[in-house]
Amino acid sequence: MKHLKPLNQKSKLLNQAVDENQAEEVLAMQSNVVGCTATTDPGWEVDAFGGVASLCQPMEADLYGCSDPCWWPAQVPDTMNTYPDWTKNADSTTESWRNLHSVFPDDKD
Amino acid sequence: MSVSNWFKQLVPSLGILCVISNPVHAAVQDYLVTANRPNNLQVVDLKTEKVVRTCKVPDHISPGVVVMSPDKSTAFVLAGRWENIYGINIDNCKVTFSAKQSTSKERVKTITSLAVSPDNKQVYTIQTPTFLGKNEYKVLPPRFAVFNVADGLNAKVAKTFPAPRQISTMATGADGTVYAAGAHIYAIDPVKGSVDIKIKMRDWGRKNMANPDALAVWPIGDISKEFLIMYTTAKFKDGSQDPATAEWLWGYSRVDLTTGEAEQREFAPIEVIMFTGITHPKDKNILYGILSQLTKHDVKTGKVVKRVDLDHSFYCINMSSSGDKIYIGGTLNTIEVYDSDNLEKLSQIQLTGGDQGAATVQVFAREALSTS
Repeated sequence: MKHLKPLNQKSKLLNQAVDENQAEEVLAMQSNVVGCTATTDPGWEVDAFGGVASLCQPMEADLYGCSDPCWWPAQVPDTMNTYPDWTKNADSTTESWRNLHSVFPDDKD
Repeated sequence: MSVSNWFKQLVPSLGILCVISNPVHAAVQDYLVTANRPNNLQVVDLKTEKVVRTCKVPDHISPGVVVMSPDKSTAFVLAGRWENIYGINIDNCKVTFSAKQSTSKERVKTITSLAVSPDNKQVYTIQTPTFLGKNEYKVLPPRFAVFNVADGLNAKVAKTFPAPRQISTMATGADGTVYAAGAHIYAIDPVKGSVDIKIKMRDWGRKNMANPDALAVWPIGDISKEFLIMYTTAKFKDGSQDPATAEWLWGYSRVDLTTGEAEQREFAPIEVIMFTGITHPKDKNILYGILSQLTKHDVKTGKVVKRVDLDHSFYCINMSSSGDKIYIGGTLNTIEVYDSDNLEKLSQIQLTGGDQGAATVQVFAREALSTS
């Protein structure tokens, strides 16, 4: 590795892994599903009948039931793995919903 | 039959005689437990409909799956973002048991699978492990895990054996069999480490019937001694399986937790979405279901007896041991009380703290908690 300079996150991790004698754990990602679920059920924007009447009401009632189990990670940040502190300042959705913000992937080194 | 259940049945039949001869046990009454943000285990006296304990769970409460020990002394809670288990004595709020399932190299989630042995001595989970490599996650086979309650705090898993994938809720039968909802309803023997299909669900092979679709997140049913999973399906007119002419139905797969008897049947047309359902503790022909409506079903006739709109969506239904009252909770931070006969709203119990989210609402009967 002395003659190679890491240019991206992955190669930096590989360098780090070599130092920690864990290079065997660094593998090419080929077809991994990224995210904790692949749920595509209707339910967040459209109900099972193709309408909206059977959606949870109000949406705040369903918010933590969706974020905690990583049910719709594209629509609601998941607090199971990726954004564990998303609800930290909003114990009550109806009272503190202004403290729930959009999320963006963190920039790594 | 456990001592507490035996006593619960004995009290009404002996009446005042029991009060005189055994003043402590005579005060058997219903309680409700649920969990809410940030880290509360709420214990509600259902006689006064007041919160009598707010125990602190030493972790993030999510998902707040709660299962009572059969002796009704300890609430076992799945918390820590689906990873950690706590046993909390509801008499004094002391944490008497804890287990962290993950390690630095293996992240272990339990998707609502929590149950307790009939002798109160063991806690069961289904572990869904992921190997955390340097830059790769590897999904590992799920396993049934046994913890000994006597190991107390920071308990390590005592035994594991392979389990099917996709198992969520579980419940323990009177004989110690653990029933688990996944692709099928499984019967698991924790002693032998065996897993059998109790009720077939996926690819059930019923002629001109669509495969069922089920949601199993809330381990309720103890009050009605049942493990009941509702599903939706389509009954086709003929082999063409045309969805346009099909009859769309609600059904359930149910195991009687006392006898182990299994049943699968359709009971209503799909008119509304329901997340949880429970049969009346004294009449299993009557089934109640909720999400944004509360519906009372007559199972044999397939008729909707009555349906009322709710103040907002509620995930989790439960009932009083007499069957007179319905308690609904989950989602926000209230419990609402309904008359099981006419579905009229009777009252509302406000919880301190935040949302319940996907927490379990458990109802059980036991001798009165001390008021100190």
